[in-house]
Formats: sequence, structure tokens, C-alpha cells
Amino acid sequence: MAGSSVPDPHRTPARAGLQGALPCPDVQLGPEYLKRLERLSLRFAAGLERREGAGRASLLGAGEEYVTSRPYRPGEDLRQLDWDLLARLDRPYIRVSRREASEFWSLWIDTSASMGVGPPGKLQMAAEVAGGIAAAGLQVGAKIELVAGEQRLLARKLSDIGALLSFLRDLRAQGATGLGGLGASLQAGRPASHVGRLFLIGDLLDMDPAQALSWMRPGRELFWVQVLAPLELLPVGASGLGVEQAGTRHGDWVEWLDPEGSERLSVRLDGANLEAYEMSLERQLEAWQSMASKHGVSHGLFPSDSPFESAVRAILEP
Amino acid sequence: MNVEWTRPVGFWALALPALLVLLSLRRAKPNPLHLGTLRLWRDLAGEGDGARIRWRLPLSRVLLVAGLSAGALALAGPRPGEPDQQSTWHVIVDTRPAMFLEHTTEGGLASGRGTRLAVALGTLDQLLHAQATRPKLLWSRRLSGVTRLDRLAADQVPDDFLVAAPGGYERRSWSALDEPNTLWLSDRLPPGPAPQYAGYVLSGGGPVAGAVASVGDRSLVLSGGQIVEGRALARRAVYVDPGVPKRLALFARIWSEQRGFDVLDVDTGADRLALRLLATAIAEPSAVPCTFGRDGWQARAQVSELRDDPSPEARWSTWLSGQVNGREQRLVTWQPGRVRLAFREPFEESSVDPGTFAVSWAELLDRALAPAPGILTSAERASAGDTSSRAPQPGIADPRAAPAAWPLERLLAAAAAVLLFAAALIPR
Repeated sequence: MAGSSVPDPHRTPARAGLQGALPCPDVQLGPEYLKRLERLSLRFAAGLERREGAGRASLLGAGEEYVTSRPYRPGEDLRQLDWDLLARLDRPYIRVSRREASEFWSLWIDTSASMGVGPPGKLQMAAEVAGGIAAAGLQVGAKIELVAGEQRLLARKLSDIGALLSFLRDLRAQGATGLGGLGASLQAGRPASHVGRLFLIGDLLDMDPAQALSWMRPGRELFWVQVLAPLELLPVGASGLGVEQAGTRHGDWVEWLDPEGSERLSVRLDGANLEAYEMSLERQLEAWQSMASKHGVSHGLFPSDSPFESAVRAILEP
Repeated sequence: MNVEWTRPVGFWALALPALLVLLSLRRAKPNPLHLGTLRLWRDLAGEGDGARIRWRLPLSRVLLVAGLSAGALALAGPRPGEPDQQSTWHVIVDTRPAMFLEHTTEGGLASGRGTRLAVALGTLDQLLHAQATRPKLLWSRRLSGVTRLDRLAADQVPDDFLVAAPGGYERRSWSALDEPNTLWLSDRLPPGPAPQYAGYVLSGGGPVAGAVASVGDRSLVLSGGQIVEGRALARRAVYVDPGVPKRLALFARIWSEQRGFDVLDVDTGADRLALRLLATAIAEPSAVPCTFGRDGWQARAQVSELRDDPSPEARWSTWLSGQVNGREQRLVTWQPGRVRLAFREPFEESSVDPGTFAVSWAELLDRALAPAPGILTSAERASAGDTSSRAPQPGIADPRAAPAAWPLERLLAAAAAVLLFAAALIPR
């Protein structure tokens, strides 16, 4: 069943920031993506069967809902012993249960104009990752909530995957500073208290780690999925990505445009400037990583040109 | 610096670097790109001016443009123009006595314009006024037998030049002064071909009556196109140096009497003396015995070296020379009014025919006689033709000679090669 909020098909055309068209404002989820999503979903289903009861698996928590029992392996926590089976069969079994609170996953997607930066577009990558996480969640029986700005969708079972993908396809990067951004959306919408897993998916550029951490609650796991364009990670890199893709090379002048404002900044991509920028970016990313490690938050940084499957696995299979 | 271009078509090659500059500036226009991390760049820009835009070309491109430009200029064939080629004229003033004759018409009547020199200077003024910009003037003058290149800078002819020099010489040396920016100032062109590069100012003038020759106290006068005997001249004298060998001194006395001259053994001054027969003082250690002769006579004497007078007016012609210590040495030299000997007593003349000695020396003394005051040759008193002038040729006549003298073209080509090489070395 589809969620409570459906995207408006007659909404105004995407505002590509205030300075002309954004390079990648839309989301394209074609048949190829569906195939890859299906393969990823089956992988999680198989993994689920293999890993049930295997301690602190990431998708299956130590909750109260009993799922099944399996033979005990030496070294496992004796507190999880199924004493009834032990008494009846005189053989040790381990109880595999699913935590009720983990069943509700809330995925918040940043649709601010800065997500239209690319190529490949950051919003495209965010949508693909969100689809993968949602499919994995549905596979393990979780309820999935997708939130993008003022748009919401609730998916309860695997058959809702069609509506879920439709929701993602309609996403569009837009808006001036703050509008559509994760920080503003979280403040306006506020995740429900029963959300067991809260995923924040975006470039996380409109908030700092402390703000993002404020949504941590007892019994809730927090996930930060940070997506940046190659252009932002490495303006001119040895990989040949970045600005070189946009037709600009080392030593050239470029004019950076703020996707969410009117600011323009002309810089020269020489060695000193690039080094200073990369150091500044590294400091910022380290702040996110440090905060995540300190408070048990799952944090992953992904270039928008990386395969979404690897990002989903890195988040759900730490 | 005045620069001329031998191949102006080479300037078209400048279009190449110009096009490169235009393309480079177009290429340098910043490429606008959206960026979510703009805040980080903004923070960096605040730390210094390194991140702010500066409209500039890469160094390699600047070197490339400079190299191509230098190459294009080299193609255009630069060479130095003649420095001040239009602004300085070298005026050679003829100070022969004929220049101080009164300027006359072809009928021999005074033209009322002063001397031939005055007419020539007036014509020079007209020529200078005819120029777009009045040139600066350097002055040199013709002296007796030589043309001294004083190169005195002055707007007007120096006063020293307004004195007649001794006559008796043609101006054959002026052919060596046939140069651009050189002006001959005379009454007529000197013998020989007309100048190719030098200009001229010629006073011209009709025939001028007056004495054309003198023999003792008699004179011959050009009058009405014919030579007639004129009034008696003041008797002149010949000075014979006491050091002159006795045989020669005796001959000089006989010759002087024949020519109507007195003989003096004291040099009384230039005006009255028609000739000075001088003997060089001989330093004993340097005296060398030598046998010499000419025209059939022969003699033997102790000789020493004749040293030239440092004055440019004293150009001596050699009449007799001999082998002294294996090298040719001048023994008798002369100039108008003077004969100089390199030997004294003892002088032993051993001619088979004594007449050859007398004829030979008589010819020398006749040739060396200074003209009597006021006597000019009939050729100089004759008509000099019409007044005429021509401006000198400017600058270098042969442009092929200039690049070797000043290799600007090669310097530019070398600079182009270095700049292009440096541009290729600099990484982008």
C-alpha cells in the first residue's frame, strides 16, 4: 500500500537554484536499476536466512519477536538459549528474534538544489540508495517511510515497491537555501518516536554533525548517508573525474555557482587552491566521521558516481 | 632609434599571435559550474587573494605569444635607419683663390653678388630653406692640396673658412667625399665624374680678368678672353738655406737670376718669397752615405730622413728618392713655394753630362714656384658656368649592407626561438 502522501504531478517545474539550470536535477530509475535492485533485494533475503540468530546482525536485532531457533554454536551468548527446546530435545538451540522497534525505518532524502550538482547527480545517487535500503527493509519485514521535503510515502510490504519507486522518480532537486534541505525537513516533519532506524540521505551540507546527532533516540539507530559529487570531492583528480569531466583542467579558472543562492565565486584550480580546498573538505568530513564513531552512528560517504549497491551494503552490513 | 623594415609583408605574421591572444582570452573565460561545497571555497577565498579571479594568461601562453611576435617582427626584416640621415649635412667648402674672385656675368661684368664664395653660400641658404626641416650643418674646407675634414658644427660657415688657401691644386680628392648627406660648395664641379651621392652648391660665374702668370717682374693678364702682358709686378725673391750644398746653391742663384728673382740667405717672410730651398738638419749618427740621381745625373751625399710637417697644409710631393739601408727613402720633396733636401755637404755630383743636372733641377724649381699674389691660372679665371645646386642623397644607398651592420633581425629571430623553447618547457 502506498504511503500517506503522494507527489503532486502538477507541481511547479524544478527551480534550478537561482542561477540557471542545475546539471542533474532529476531522478531516472529505469529497467536496469530495477534489475539491480531486485538482485540486491534477493541478496539481502539470502543473507537474512544465513544470518538469523548470528549474534548482532545488522538487519535483525535482538528484539522480543520470536522468529525461529537454530542449533547452538560454541561461543554464542548463552542468554539466547532456547531453554524449552533444550529441555525437550536435550540439545542446545539459540532463539532468533526480531526487535519490534526495528521494524520501522524512516528514510529522509535531501531534495535541496545542491543535490542537483553533478554529474552524476547527487539526488540520483541518493534516490538509488534510498530505494536499495527500502527494498532491503521490506525484505526483512520492516515498514518503510520515505520523506523528501514535504512529500512522504509509507511502504509496508514488498508489493509497495512500485509506489516506492514512483515516489523516488518524482524527486527533484530544487529550492533556495534551506528549502528542501534535510535540516529544514527534519525540523518541520520530525521523525516519529517509534522510528527504529533513521536514515539521513543527502550531502548533509546544510547541517553540522551535532544537528544530525540530535535525532538520536534511545532504541533508535541513526544512519548518515552522505553523497557528494566527484566535482566536490576532487575538483581536479588523478582519476580524471571532477572538473576535467566538465571540460576544465588544472590551472584553469572556474566560476562556482551556488545552486541555492546567487553567489558566484571565481577561482583558479591551481595546486595551492586545490590543496587548501581538499584539506578543508577533509576536515569537515572527519568531523562527521568522528561524531559518528563516537556515538555509534553508521556513516558513509559516497561519490555520486559509485554503484548504489556498494553504498547500501556498506550502510546495512557494517 | 630609427628602424626601417625591409619586408613589411612580414607584419601579416603578427596576426598569428594576435589570434592566439584572442583565443586564449576566450578560453580563459571562467567555466561556470554549480557546486554544493561553495562555502568551503568561499572560506578559502577569504584567507588570501589566491582563490579570487585574476584575468591573466598562463605563462606558457604569454611566452608563446611573445615568441611568435618576435618571429613575425624578424620576418618583417628590421634594420636601423640611417641615424639623423636627413638632419645633418656635411658641407665641404672650397677655399681655392678662385672662390674669392668677384662673381661676374658671362660678359665679364660684376654681377653685384659679391665673390663666388658669397654666391655659393647664398645658394646654400636657398637650398636649406627648400628642405622640409633645415638640416644641421657640419663644415669642412679644402686647404692647399688636401681637404681637411674639420666637421665643425655651425649654422653658418665658420669665419676661418673665409680665407683663401694657396692655389695650384685640383680637387681630385673630392671624389672620395662622394657620400650621402655630403654637400660640395665650390664654383664648379671638380674634374672627374659628377658625384653620385653628394650634393653640390656651385656659384658659377663668368670669366674674371686678372693676372694668370708671372715671369720675374712681368705678368700675363687675361683680358677680353685673351692673354696680354700686364703691369710689372713687385720683384720677388728666392731663399736659399745656408745648408744647401754649394753646387746646388750656385745653381739656384743662376736659376733665380734667369727667372728675375733676387736671392736671399735670410727668410724674410711669405709675401715676397717665390721659393724657399731648404736643407734638413742632419744628425751625424743617423747620416748614411747614399748615391742617388734622376734624369741622367747622379750624386753621392750623406742623407738623413725627411720628416713630414704635422700641419695638414704641408703635403709634400716626392721628387727624388733613393735606397737607404735597403729601403726607399725620400731625398727631395716639394710643395708650392718650398723645396726640401735630405742632404747637405758633402755633395758630390758625378754626372757625365752636366746639362742634365741643370735641366732636371730647373724643372723642379719652376714647378715649385709659388704663384705670385693675385695670379690665378687662366682656367680658374675662366667662366665657371651657371649657378646650380643639388641636395645630397639621404641614407644608405644599399639596403643589403645594413643587416650585417646591425643584426636586429637575427636578434629577434634568436629571441623568438628562446621564447618558443621556454613556452614548450613550461608545463600547463
